[in-house]
Amino acid sequence: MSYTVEEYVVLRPDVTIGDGTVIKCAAIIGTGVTIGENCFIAPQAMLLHMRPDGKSKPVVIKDNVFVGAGVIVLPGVTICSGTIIGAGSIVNRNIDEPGTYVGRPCRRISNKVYTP
Amino acid sequence: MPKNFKQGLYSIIEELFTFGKNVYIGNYVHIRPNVSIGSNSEIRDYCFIAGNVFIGFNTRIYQYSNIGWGTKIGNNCFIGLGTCTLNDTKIAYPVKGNWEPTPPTIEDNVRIGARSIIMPGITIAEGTTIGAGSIVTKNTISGKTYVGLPARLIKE
Repeated sequence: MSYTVEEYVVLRPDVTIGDGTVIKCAAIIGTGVTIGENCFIAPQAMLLHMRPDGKSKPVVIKDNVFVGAGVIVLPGVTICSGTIIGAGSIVNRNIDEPGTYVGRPCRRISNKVYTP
Repeated sequence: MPKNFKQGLYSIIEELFTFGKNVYIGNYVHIRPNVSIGSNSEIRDYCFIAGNVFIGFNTRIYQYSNIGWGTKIGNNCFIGLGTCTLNDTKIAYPVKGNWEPTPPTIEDNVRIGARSIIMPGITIAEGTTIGAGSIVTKNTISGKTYVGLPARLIKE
């Protein structure tokens, strides 16, 4: 197994991607971001690394995470395994409990867990 | 090649396409097989258009848009910058069994604002306006305006 990266994806240096992960077109993955195994990063999702004050705090995504289309994950956020993040959400805090999160900023709406 | 066909630098157009007259394709565009584009349509820079997409005439698709597999876009449409159309309702990937995508349909005279997302299987009715950054999760009523996450009707 290995990971899949589609067209127009921006992959900055030092990115770690686990086995079986799919990154769809035009996603932006910042410097030093860690993505676990069997994750799905939908089109135009942004996983950022740089804070406005210039400090680098890359996003950490654990195994089996679904990141929807157009999601923005702010720097320094850790997302636990099994989480689903709905399309268009903005994630500004750590997510410690698996479940489904949607909104700007994202809120928990159900217990449904991503099982690839 | 069709008449007055303009293709930008570094754009890739795969086989089996049918284009009308005066089609404009910008720089760095990638068009997968089996795409048909009507006359006088424009596809601007960095767009990605997946297979089996149908685009009507006089339609403009602006920069950085991602049009998913099988999407149908009508005539005289405006698709704003960075718009994304999705086509798969099953979130588990890779899909077990047959892959049955449910692409969205965009009818005539639709205007879609920048960075909006059209969810799978949605029909955007004729004359709808969708505000920038909206996530369209339900079918729309013709001639109305929708904004927000999820997109809601704002004008009667």
